[in-house]
Amino acid sequence: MSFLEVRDLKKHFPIRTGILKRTTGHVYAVDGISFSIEEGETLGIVGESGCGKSTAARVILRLLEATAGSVVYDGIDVMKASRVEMQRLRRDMQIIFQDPYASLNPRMRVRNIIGEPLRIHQIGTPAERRQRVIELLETVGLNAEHAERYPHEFSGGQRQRIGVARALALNPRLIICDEPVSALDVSIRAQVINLLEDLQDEFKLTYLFIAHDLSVVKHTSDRVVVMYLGKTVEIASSDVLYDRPQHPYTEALLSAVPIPDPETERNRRRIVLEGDVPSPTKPPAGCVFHPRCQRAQEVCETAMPPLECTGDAGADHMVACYFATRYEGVPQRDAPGKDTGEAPAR
Amino acid sequence: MTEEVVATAGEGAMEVKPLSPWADTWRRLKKNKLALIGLVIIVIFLLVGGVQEIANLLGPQNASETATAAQRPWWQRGYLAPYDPNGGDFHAGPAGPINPPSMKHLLGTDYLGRDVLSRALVATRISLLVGIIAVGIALAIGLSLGPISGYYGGAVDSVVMRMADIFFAFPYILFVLLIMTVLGPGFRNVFIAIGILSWAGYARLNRGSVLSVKQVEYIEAARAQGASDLRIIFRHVLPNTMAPIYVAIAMGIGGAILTESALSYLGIGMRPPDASWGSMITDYQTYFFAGQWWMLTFPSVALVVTVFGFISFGNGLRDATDPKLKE
Repeated sequence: MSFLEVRDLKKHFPIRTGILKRTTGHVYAVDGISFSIEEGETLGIVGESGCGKSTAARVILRLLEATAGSVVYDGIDVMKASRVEMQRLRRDMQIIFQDPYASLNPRMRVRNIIGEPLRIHQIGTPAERRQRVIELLETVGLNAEHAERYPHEFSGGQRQRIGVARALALNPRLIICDEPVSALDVSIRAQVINLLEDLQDEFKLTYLFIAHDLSVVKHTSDRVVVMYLGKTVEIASSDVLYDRPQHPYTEALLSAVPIPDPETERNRRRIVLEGDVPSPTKPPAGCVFHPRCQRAQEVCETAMPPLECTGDAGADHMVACYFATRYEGVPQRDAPGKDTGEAPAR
Repeated sequence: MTEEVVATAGEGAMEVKPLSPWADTWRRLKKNKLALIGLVIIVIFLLVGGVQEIANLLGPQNASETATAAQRPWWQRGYLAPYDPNGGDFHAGPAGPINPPSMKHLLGTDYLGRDVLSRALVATRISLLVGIIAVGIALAIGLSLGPISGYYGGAVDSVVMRMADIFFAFPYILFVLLIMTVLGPGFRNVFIAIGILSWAGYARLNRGSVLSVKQVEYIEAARAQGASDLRIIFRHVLPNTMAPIYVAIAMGIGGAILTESALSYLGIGMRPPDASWGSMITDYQTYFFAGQWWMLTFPSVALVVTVFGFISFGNGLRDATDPKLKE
């Protein structure tokens, strides 16, 4: 049993119209994703805006109720946990939000923002809590005098540190990072990412790291889940995924990452996807990616391919495609990108 | 780790320290002359009314029995006025009870020889009380139901908002009369009636802000920490929806004072001989056209100026907090 096991998780939002509020359709925000996380590892989730990454994070933490599926944390089914069990689970599972300007209550002092989880869970005396808040501030690279200030007195990077301190207050084991650096200046991003990595080593944290920036995910994650339109299309360890992507969508995503070398950048092959992401209210029949896929054939319109291991690109490499890119023999680590975009061997 | 501390410190020092919401509002309010005049009027009103309330609380019950009210020090008279507001004097001046303003009676005397200034001053206390108590009751109801309605939505929301609709739909004066019949007479019951009637405005105003604030990430953060609904509503949602409420309070106090005067004018509120601005206006209106203008004029001016003060300050506050008007 893994540390966190997500099985066939679904979240459909009903669309209600008219004065009678009849349900006229659904937004299939998360439509059957499965993955597992081992203790101490970092699992990245990548995908375009609107592919359901953040919704998945909220469903896992049960900030939203799932439509179907299960999330098992350390042997406990989160979706079926009672009020009391849930309160216990909240101490173990925390979240860091994307927008540090929206995730801190502007009317509360930093001391109260970071101390609030301790108060909710009635940990320690007021004096002990105050001491703990100062410790936490120092842990994230701020200092004691920041405790009396309000969020508007801080810069974006500092606010994100406050958000991290709040998430750490209860000594959690799992932290979901919902695009923790997307809203920050590029110059500050590295600082926050390094902080998160230091904290992982120090407190043996497990991260679920959501991002749409592939370079950030590659840097931080041990394994990566690629999502498209509410579904998982590929899961692989980070190095393998970047060297030998199998799904045509992953290949297109990787080809869009800028390479900091003008020569390579100019000569490499770009895979430009046509059209837009279909509306999650009417996902295409069959494989969700087929309307934009260059390899699509008739079979792709009939059923979503199962997420399975093809066996020739690493044992833990799973892909949901009938025409996944195949790699022969020994992995060619020295020639990244050489094989991308080639026609499938089938 | 040390490098990072240095880095963040530098990052903070680069920025101009942004103003807190309060300081920012005050900075813009200062530019609005009318609002400042309103603020000055409010402060004077609060001082005059407040001192009298204190005088009334310390009041006659602590005074020695031997001295008459006028002989006691002011804080034991129960009022802050040169004369007993209810004590008539038929020999107040050479012409009998009714005398125009003079050095002895700055605002003149009325048909019973009572000092108009003393009565108008005592009435200030009544207006202050009606403002605080009526708006206080309305806020207590409105700010409990409004956030709950907005936060939970669905059936709870529908019930609360339909109740608010009912309160909006009733003719105001009629409803006060109804409540007065239930509560019984007495001027304190007027305050309660006005308060009960005006909760719906605050509730609806607040519900709207709650709907937008509850979508913000810090609410989700609180839920992720395991905060209870009540904690989220009253610690996270409510404090962030107060800006429009402050404006409504300023306007609401002005409105409550006006309503009390209207009710007293109709004879529902204060009972003779106790004075309120509204009852003074009823009492004295017939003398105005007989040339004895001072009786009606001064309480009317006091009422108009006070209500003007609250409304113009409320208007200024609204403009100062309106993000669309930010330069």
